[in-house]
Parts: sequence; structure tokens; C-alpha cells
Amino acid sequence: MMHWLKQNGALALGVGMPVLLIVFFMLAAWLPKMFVDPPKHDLLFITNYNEYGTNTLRADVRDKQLTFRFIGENFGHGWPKLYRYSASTGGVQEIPIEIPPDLTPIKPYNRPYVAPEHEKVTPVAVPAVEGLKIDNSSVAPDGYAFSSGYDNSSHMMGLFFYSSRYRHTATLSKNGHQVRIPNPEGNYYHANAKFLGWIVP
Amino acid sequence: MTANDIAQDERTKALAAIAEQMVRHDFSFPDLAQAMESVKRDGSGGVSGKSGLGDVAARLFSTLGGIFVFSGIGVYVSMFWGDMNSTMRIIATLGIGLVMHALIMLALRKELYVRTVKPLLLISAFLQTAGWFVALDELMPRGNDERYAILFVMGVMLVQQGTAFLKHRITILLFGTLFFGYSFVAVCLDLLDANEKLTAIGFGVSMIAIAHAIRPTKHAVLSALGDLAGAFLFCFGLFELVKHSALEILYLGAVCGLIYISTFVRSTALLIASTFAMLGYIGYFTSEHFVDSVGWPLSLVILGMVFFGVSVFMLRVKRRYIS
Repeated sequence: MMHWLKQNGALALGVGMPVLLIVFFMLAAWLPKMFVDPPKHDLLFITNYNEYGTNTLRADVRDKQLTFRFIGENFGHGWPKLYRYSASTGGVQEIPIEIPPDLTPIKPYNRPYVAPEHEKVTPVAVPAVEGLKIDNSSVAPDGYAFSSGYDNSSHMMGLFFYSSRYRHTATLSKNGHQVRIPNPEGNYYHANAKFLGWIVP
Repeated sequence: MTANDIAQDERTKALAAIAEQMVRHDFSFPDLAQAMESVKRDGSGGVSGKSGLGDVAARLFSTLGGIFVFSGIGVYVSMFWGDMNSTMRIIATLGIGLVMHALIMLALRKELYVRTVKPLLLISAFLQTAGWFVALDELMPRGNDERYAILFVMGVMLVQQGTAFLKHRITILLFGTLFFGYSFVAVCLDLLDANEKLTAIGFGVSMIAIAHAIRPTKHAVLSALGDLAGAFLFCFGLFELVKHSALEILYLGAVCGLIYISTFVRSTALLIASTFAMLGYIGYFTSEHFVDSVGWPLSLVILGMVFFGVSVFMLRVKRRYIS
């Protein structure tokens, strides 16, 4: 064996290095799992969310209650999507946000839009989240923190091989243990995921 | 050192290289004598594959044939894709790819066809890869992570290309084996959320090592590609890892190490890649630290002179140690 390794050191290094990488990262992924408990709390997050503009949906957490209101006119520029991550299954479910009747989309080219002195505010009811206690602390009671975004370093691996890193991703992390929130629609992190809060008992 | 000394030095090195190759490939003295006779007779060692006109024509027509076959299948599939049902789609991609691969394997039993089937091997691999994705899409329920589908397809193709290479030892099959092998590992690492910078460094080291391992074999044509891709991944991975940290200077040391390795393994491709990596870093360092100073134009001139110096150094290294 040692003789073969001496004769074919380069080949052994070439084939062995990818195997070593897999073993190393497998251990790096599994070891924290052995020492860190999995997440306990479900969470709510929203995508395609415009935090600062007008004519858009806003989400607010006050007194552990999540409410939605629409600021301005509905020009139909796509509504944000609300999701609930389940800690027990690790899955993600979309919670539909129904457009209120008085917010029927209007087409801005049908009439000139004049910004009113005070923007119209329309409460938007989302029955699925009513009654839920929401904790919008950055760290959950079980110690997990939510983070989203993308690694903005050069994605050199993607030039040669498959790499999903160009996507926006959302993860929960605690003491080196990371849980990647799944991506059932393929691109729902398109406009980045904004954390709304942990669902607490 | 006189011209005679240099010539003697070159002869000693050449003899050492011949001895190394003979040991590596288990050649005997009669084999060497036969090859020397062949060189004296017609200028070829009988192993260099110097092409005759017929050979060139055969390869030309096989390449053209491959292009026509591929474009014909591509046009047919794109024209009628919307009208095809699932079975037709799978047959038009995976089916054709598999049948083509089987026919190629049969043809390879005769040495005569080895050179002419190479374009078809590429087309077959492409069709099968696309075909497996089509089959999974048509037959399996949609999952929530496409990476498992990619892992499956890369794994199947790796096994197929690998077994075919072990049987026939054709360079293009080795290329397929390496490509699908690295792709398979890349998806595995992506599933493990591996650090992309460390992955790139590991892949770079692996590719450079594999390129070195195949350099003395008949698949040496792949070694330049391996060196280039390996050096690119290694340098980018390392640079991204140490950028803006106290360890950034290590990058320059690693690139100098690569230049040394390129002379050690006599690889022009590795020398070019590592020289560009060094020039890139010099440019980056200059723009980071001198861009807003009055000395910027001066530093550009100095940088230019450094570039000239490096290029002369590179040529000297190539002449002295590689050529």
C-alpha cells in the first residue's frame, strides 16, 4: 500500500482530496447536531417585501400580535408572500394574504396618479395569523437566530460545476449548527426573506 | 558554463527523463530499440500518432458527422417538443443517448474506430445527461430540492463514463469521468452546505494533482486543462478566504509556490495560470493601497515595469526548467 502511494502520490492526492472534503464537511455538519438541540419554534417570514416605499403592504408586530396594513393605492405590483416555517417538520407553508375588496388593483396609466397628502391606509386581515403570539426578537427563546441573504463573494465553483450559492438563502443558526430553510418554489427567496417573528406559546 | 556543458546537462536530463518514462510504463530494452529504429526510419517512434492524410480525413468526416447528427436531433426535438408526450421526450433524448453509447461501445471493439467515434461519445454523454433530467422531470413527482436530481444524474453518468474508460482507456471518456466525478462531489458538498472557498481550494489541489498524474500517460492532453482549471479554483478560493485579513500575504506565497511547482512538474499551463494569478494580485494590491494617492500614476508605471520583469522571469523559467 505504502509503495503504491509513493508511486502514485499525485493520483492518490487528486482522488483523495474530494473524498476528504466530503468527509470533513459531513463531520462539520453532523458534529454540531449532536451537541445542539434542533429548533423548537415555528417562524413567520415574508418575501418580496418593500419596507420603505408606499403603495405596498406593511407588516407590524405590536404586543406580540402580527398585523398587516396596506399603504397607498394598489397598483398590482405583486403582493409580498407570507410563509410559516415549521420547526417540527422542517417544511415551509405559504399563508395566503387576501386582497381586501376596497384595494382592487388599479392601472396607473388609466388615470394620472397624484400622491395624496396623507396616504390611504387599509387594514388587511390574515385570519391564519390572528391569535398567534409573535416574538420578533432577533434570537428565539431556544437560542436560534434567523439570517437571510447571500454570500456576496465570487461564486467560482459555479463557473465549472453546480452551485446553488447564487440564490438567496435563509438559515437558522445556533452555536455552529445551521438549518437551511427549504425552498419549495425554487425562487421564493428572489426578493430576499424578511424575518417577522417566532411563534411562541 | 560553456555551450558544451549546457549540451551535456541537457543530455543528462533527457536520459533521466527517458529512464523515468521507461520505468513508469514498464518498457523493456527491445521496446526502446524498436522505437529508436522507427524514429531513425521515418522520424516517428511509432507511438506519436503522426497523422496521415486518410487519418485526418477520417477524423474530419467523423467530426462533421457528429455535428450533423447532433444538430439533426436538436432541431427535431426543438420543433416537436411541445407535441411530444412523456415517452417520446424520453426516447428522443435519453433513448437516443443510450443507444448511441451502446453502439459506440460495440464499435470500440475494433481498434479502427477508436478515433472516429470520439465526437459521438461527447454527443452521447450530452444527450444522456439531458435525457436523465427529462426522464426524472416526466416520470417523478416534483421534489423541493433539484440538487438530489442533479446528484442522481451525475452519479449515473460518472459510473457509466468511469466503467467505459476502464474498459477502453480513451481520453474523452477520462474527461467525462473527471467532469461527472467533480460535478458529483460538487453537488454533495453543496448539499452539505460546505464552505465554497475551501471547496474551491480542495478542488484546485485535486485537479493539479490529477493533471500531474496523467501527464506522463497518453491522456496528457487533459493535463493542461486540469492545471488551468485547478490553478484558477485554487487561487480564487484562497484569495477569497484570506482577502482583507492579516493572512492575505499568504496568497502571494501560495502563488509563488505554484510557480515553483510548475517548474517542478514542467507544466506551462500551470506556470501561465500562476503568473496571471500573481499579476492579478499585484494589480489588486496596488489599486487597494495606492489608488487615491498622488503616486498612483507612478505606481502604474512601476507596476508595468514589474509586469515586464515578471514576464521575462516567466520566459526564463520556462526555457530553463520546462522547455
